[in-house]
Amino acid sequence: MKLTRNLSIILICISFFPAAVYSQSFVISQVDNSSLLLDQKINLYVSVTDTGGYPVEKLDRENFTIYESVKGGSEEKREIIDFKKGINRDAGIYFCFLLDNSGSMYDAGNGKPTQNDELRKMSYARNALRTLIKDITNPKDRIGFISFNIRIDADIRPTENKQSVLDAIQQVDKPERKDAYTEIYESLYHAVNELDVIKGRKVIILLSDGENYPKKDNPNFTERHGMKGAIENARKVGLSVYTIGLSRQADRSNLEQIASNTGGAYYSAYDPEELENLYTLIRNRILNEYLITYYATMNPAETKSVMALCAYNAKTLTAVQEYFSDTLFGQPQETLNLLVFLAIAVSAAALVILYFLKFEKKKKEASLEVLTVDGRRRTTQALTISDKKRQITISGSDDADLTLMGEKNAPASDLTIENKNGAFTIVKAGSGITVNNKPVKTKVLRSGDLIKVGNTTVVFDGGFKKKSGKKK
Amino acid sequence: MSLGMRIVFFAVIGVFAGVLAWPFVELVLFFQASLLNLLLFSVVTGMTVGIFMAGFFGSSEGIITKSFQKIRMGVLFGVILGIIGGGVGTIAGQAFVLFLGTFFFNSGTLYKYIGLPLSRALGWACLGLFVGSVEGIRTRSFAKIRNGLIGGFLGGIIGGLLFEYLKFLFPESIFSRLVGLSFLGLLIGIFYALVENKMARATLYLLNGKDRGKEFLLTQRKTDIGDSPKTAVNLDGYKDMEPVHTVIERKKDGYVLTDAGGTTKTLVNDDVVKTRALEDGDVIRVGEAQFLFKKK
Repeated sequence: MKLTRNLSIILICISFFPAAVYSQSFVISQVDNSSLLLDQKINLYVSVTDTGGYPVEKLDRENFTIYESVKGGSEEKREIIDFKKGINRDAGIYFCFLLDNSGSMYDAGNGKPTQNDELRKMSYARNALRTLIKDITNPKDRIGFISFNIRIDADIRPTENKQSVLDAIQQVDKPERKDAYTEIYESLYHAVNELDVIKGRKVIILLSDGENYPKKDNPNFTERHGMKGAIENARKVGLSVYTIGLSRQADRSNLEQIASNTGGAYYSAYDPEELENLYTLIRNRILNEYLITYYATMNPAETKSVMALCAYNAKTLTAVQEYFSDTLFGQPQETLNLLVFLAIAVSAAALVILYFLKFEKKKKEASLEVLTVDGRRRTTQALTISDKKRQITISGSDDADLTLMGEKNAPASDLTIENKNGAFTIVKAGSGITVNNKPVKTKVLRSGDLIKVGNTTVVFDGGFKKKSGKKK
Repeated sequence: MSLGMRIVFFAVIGVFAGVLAWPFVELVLFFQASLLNLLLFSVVTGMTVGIFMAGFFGSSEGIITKSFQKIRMGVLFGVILGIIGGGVGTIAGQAFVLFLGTFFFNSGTLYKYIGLPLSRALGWACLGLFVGSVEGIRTRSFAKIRNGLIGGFLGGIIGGLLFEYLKFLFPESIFSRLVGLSFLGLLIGIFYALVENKMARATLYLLNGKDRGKEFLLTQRKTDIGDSPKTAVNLDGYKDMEPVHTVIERKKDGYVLTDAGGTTKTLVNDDVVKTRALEDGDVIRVGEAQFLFKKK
């Protein structure tokens, strides 16, 4: 296992040596805050590659320095509390293949027009893509595909369905003459943005003959970023661009520049053996990661910025990433406004007012109330009985002291109550009248008695004297 | 108190529960950097919210019945349970916010207008579930726990969304969190009263005396009536009432009243009873107090 790996690296070394141009790179590929709440730890996954384009495996925690900062704040140095090597060897990678589909891709490799399809650059590009995709064997890997000329003309987001990408590659058609421009840099910029929204390790593989042939005032790309902008965007997102050249002589230098400035590498499509090993190489480079753990600061911020320095080979490389760090209740006020403490007084006052508000009616005098059996407003009619009143009549008639609206034509609804020094007695009751669900003719009323006259319910309340409210 | 009034009352209580919690939350947030770690910080903010919100809700029954002892007991137990509920709820809510927020932050475009508000809303809903259930646990009523959970969840969603969007609309304002917290309280209160209203299958309507017109919801499996503050239907100022006078139990096929065996008896429709299945419209006499039993 190890032998074959070493062997393949040696083979890669031999076959690449003349073509590859690299720069050292240092990337934070993931900031993992999932244990922040539990133990305040932040895990950083970082990878370092050397000028040969290979992962640097010998680094130790002394080589790294970690700083954390919030927007507008100063960098705070954090101690590395845990350090691991060779992490994430079998994680998935998002590959995005970016294919040049301009007019010149349908010429032969020497730049001359040809009618023989097999000699066209596009055929070599297709073959290279098929080789690469065939090599992608890790089930966690995802592949996407974008082709471009004057515009983005095919766009498949990273998927596990290899066949759909292979089909799309087969279906790429020669553009019409009016569309046969080459917007390499703007298309690359677009592809980087598309991958930016994806979490995880990702890489772009650009296949082109290197000729950038933009259309002036192209409505498909109104903003112009150029090569510099595209490279910066890739660096910001932290992804490497590997470039595969389809032209032996022409614009190789810009493809090499894109690759070397983003931590990728340049290959020639005419060396199938190089391409055979590209997948293994990318996996080795991307997934040979270090895990650095540190304790996060408690400075309040919605997002925090981590800056990692890697001192290696007499150089200091820098990588920056942000992570989400908001709290349940959000961010504090910049200066604590004393006005907020007024709220304590306001709510205390509200509590006192609520306490002294009378939620219950507290009538001291005796009363008769008509209670509706259903519906929200229970009391529709009420009659307060003063001590002087000796006799109270209740009926459907308008002459009664309490006229029952619902019992207008009910003959047997008459009810007379006598008051003798605060003792109330029913002295006359029509047929069918009940008190507390029992038929009555006469009855001494007690407070709370429920009198039913036909369909109407009347409640007698004897009132209460304040003194009687005291406990026994 | 009528059911409509009850909703208004609990809504007001809820709003001021939020208003009271707000300055203390601001205070803790302001000193975030002085706290040891995120876990401790979450526990402290959560306990702060729990203490003031659950404490405020705990006083509600006592305020309605004007029983100072009930307020004191309610607030005390509300605070104790609020500490636990708020602390646990905030840890859970914080976990939600971190997990979802990180997911949306890493996936870019949707983060600001959908991702962060959604994370906040679900985080607050999580807190709402815990804070909302405190009243039910305090009064040992499953129905109230269930109601509190519903109210707390919805209140958290709405309060959290309001807070987040107000923050975008008025980034300079110090009041967006106040509005969010008040709405959390308001909705816990409203839904609490509202859902309870719907779930009560029977009520006792007090027909006479100083608290006349008050309506007691029979939401608990067992409802006791008496003049002890420990009873669910606690009346003060009615003569001849035992500390625990009568118990009404909810059974499968209806409600059953049982006299608790004191010197003064319980009457249903003017008959002295020991145990009796209640029917809609029955008049119950407990000491001097007379209730109308109503089924929905």
